[in-house]
Amino acid sequence: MQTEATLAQADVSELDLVKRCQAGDTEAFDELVTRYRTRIFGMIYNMVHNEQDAWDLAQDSFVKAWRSIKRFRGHSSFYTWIYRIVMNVTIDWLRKKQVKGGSEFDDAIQLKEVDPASKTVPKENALPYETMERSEIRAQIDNAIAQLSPEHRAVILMKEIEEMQYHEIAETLGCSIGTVMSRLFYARKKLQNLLKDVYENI
Amino acid sequence: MRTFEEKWTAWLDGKLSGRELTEFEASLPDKAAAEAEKADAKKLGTLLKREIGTYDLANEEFFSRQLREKIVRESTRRSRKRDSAVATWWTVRRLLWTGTASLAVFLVFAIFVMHDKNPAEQSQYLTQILNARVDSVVSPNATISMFEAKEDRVTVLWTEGLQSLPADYAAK
Amino acid sequence: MGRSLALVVASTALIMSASTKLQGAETVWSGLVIAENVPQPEPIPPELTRIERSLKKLFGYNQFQVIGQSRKTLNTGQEDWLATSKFFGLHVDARGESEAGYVLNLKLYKEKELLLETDTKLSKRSPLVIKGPQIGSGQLLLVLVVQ
Repeated sequence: MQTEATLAQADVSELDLVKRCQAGDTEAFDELVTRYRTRIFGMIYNMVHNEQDAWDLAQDSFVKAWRSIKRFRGHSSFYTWIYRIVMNVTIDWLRKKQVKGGSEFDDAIQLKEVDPASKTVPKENALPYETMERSEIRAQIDNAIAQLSPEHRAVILMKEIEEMQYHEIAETLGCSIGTVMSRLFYARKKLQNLLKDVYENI
Repeated sequence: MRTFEEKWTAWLDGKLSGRELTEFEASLPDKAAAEAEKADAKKLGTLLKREIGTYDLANEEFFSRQLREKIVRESTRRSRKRDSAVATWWTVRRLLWTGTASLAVFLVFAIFVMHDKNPAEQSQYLTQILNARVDSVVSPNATISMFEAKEDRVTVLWTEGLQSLPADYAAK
Repeated sequence: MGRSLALVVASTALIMSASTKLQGAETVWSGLVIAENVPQPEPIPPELTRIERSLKKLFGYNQFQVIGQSRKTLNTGQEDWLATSKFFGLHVDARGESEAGYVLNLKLYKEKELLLETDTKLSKRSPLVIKGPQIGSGQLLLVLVVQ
């Protein structure tokens, strides 16, 4: 477990990396990417449910972050700052996809056919029945989340998965704390309605 | 003043305390039902965390390499532009602003004018929302979405961000 | 001959106008409702009894008061005002009838300002509730039910 001293040290070194990025050091940016790429990719995937799209959006987000790194003032943590870019990119993409009438998320179906040896499945050796049941549960959850608007999807994932505080979510999405809480109210009600059969059996 | 939704969310997340907590719990029409719903919400949270959790990025190094190449290309392109002697009215800044303004106009129409919902997505016997919009001038931050409560077959058009009004507006 | 022709034309017009009315002379009840939490809630209005459980569960309030209501038979192609109160008005443009229900364009006005607009297929089996703005410590709801 990290001590306060090592956390403070990590913050300082991150600030140092950001300053180097602002001076045009691409290797410093590389280091920041390495720190956050998995977490950012995971968050985007949970929003869009498609690996290729999540990959492209994560790349776009990091490129945007690089372009605007000089505007980072250090008022929030670097992660919060880049998270905001990630959410804007992802939500914009989802909105455009809705307008175009984009295809259904198909990863939920693909989950059943994933090679157990790949990184994208749980590492424990589950029994075949359990594996199928888990992938069906995941498909139902993905389906339910897909019925939320991009904004509602973002708040529920940030609260329940990322365990962010209301003010952090508000800062990331650029809205008020009241709006975050209101969206959580709606998203939880909707998901409770859609997933009651699933969570009652856990 | 906090809305009911905000208080409920805070109560669910254990963020209410003291007088606000006492008052809120006293205002609940059915405390037992509310507690049951709170327990359900916790189960939902546990389910989401357990089943969604983190999603591994396969080929992390390839991801970084691809990104590095994009950034290097970007940096090279920018320094070439800076060195170029050709003057153009369409500077990068102007292009960005024009692009952003166009995207904003597009998003206003895209967000606030919903498509017709495919009727197959909604139950045949429930009231269907074909499209809905809020006036973006009157309520620039409002959003609108649909919700179906299948128990009583109620269709709800759910708005958020509409401007709050004083109690006088409740006059008959 | 002229009289017969006039009679045929008048009969046809009557039949056509009758066919554009909602079947079985159904009426649409609409209500502007203020939902809020109070220590001593009044009984729920009878028009809302059927959906009382959903209203309480979805919105979390314990009292629902009607501040404006109307009960009208809608004619396709006609526009009308449904429920109105001192500051709000619900305008309807009945655009037709389908298997699933009645196609309506609804506009909620706050005085002269249009707050929201929706095109809906209102089903006989399924009330529509629209969440309006916060008013004081309560919430404005619009409810439409085919009776």
